[in-house]
Amino acid sequence: MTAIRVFLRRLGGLFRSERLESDMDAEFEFHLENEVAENLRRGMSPDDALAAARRRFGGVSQMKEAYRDAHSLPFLQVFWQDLRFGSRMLRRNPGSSILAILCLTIGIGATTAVFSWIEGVLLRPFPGVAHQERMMAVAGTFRGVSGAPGDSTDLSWPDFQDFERNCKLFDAFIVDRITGVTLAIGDRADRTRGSVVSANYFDALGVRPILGRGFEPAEDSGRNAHPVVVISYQMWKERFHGDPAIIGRAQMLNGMPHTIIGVAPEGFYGTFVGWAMQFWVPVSMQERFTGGVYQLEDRGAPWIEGFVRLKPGVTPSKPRRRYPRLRASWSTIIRPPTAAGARDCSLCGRLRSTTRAPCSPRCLSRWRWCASCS
Amino acid sequence: MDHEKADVLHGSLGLMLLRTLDTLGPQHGWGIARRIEQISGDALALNQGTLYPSLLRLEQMGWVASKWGTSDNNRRAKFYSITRAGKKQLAAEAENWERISDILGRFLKPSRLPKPSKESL
Repeated sequence: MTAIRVFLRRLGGLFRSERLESDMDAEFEFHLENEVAENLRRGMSPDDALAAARRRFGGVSQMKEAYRDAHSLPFLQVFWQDLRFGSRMLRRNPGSSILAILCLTIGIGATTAVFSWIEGVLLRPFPGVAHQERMMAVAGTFRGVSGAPGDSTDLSWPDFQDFERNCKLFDAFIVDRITGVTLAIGDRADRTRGSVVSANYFDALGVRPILGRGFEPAEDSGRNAHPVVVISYQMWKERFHGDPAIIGRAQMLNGMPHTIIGVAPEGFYGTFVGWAMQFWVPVSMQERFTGGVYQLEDRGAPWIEGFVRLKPGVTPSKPRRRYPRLRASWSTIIRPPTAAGARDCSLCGRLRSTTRAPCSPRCLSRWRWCASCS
Repeated sequence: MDHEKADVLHGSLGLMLLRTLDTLGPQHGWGIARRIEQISGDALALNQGTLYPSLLRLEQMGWVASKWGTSDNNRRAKFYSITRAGKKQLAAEAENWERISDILGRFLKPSRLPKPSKESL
């Protein structure tokens, strides 16, 4: 308590330094006058009396300095003086100052950017998704083929259905396929990125639309039977001006009117690391969104990326050993979503989308130079 | 510096100031300085000026209060007085000081030390 009170009083003393000076002068003067008068009474000459009084007092200017130090927070005052001295020196050498400031700016910026990438890509690859530390990517490989990472393939829809039925180690199993459309609203048309996803997508990720609903199980099946779309918060805000009556409205996507059934919560960007998805359509619409070939009944057509969320307590290595054998010719790989070789380009996409900065190796090395400078 | 005179031990000046104010009542700095010199019989090597930062610290602690007033010779002067918290602090510190000086006294007067026996070593 006492320490806090002392600190507060000293802090207050910072703002009353003028009053302090005049009070201190008056007090010290009063003291010296009394001492001189006393010395005169003892029979000293006026000169001696003054000198003796000063000697006794112990150096008026030292005492004033000690008094000022006790009155406020000297380190703050010293800091302020240093700051002023520093800025004077910077002004005197503008060239090297600008260089130093530039280095610091770029260096700090680059370091911050690197840490936000690490945060975004490695630690929290899927904003808004529940329990993402247990999320893993699933891919297939052909048995007997040497296992370089690039050899893995996507899943086919029948694979997904078998997997979901047979594997008990996962809380959730979803699929996701990136797609894009030209979105024309009013007189503005933009290329917009979205995903074709399994109907359990939002439920399994623990993402609740803030308006409307997610997909229903029936919307997985029926060739092009469910032209419905969930849009991102960003799209809702920017392209539809946050219209509260958006649900039920029809929007043309790839030449077919789709009913907007839901708006995803703010900060949810889907499950493609590094890209912000703007809309999601159910798997039944595959033919419309992935090149015009119907692939939902073709086991030989790998076109989707699988994600699983391990049940609590299940380690990643366990499902690797105990995945269900889908087909004699296949193995299944489970791996952390960001370690996948196929996702290197998505990492790059992340770099671009968060900082708008080029990420070529040469640029990176220049950035690193600036970072070590700072 | 006169080597015959004792330097003021760290922390003891505050105790002297509190005690002086407790005895004299409200007093200005010069009066306090005179009083301390009187009591110590001029045996202390104390710059009078050092009283003021010490008084300021005591004031910041809340043990001393200060007020501008008029002195006997009709001059404007700052008067210091001890607060209730200061009296408490004085009692506690005085007790502490006595205990310490008692312990030190035992060390410094060997005749009063109990003779070491072989068993106790």
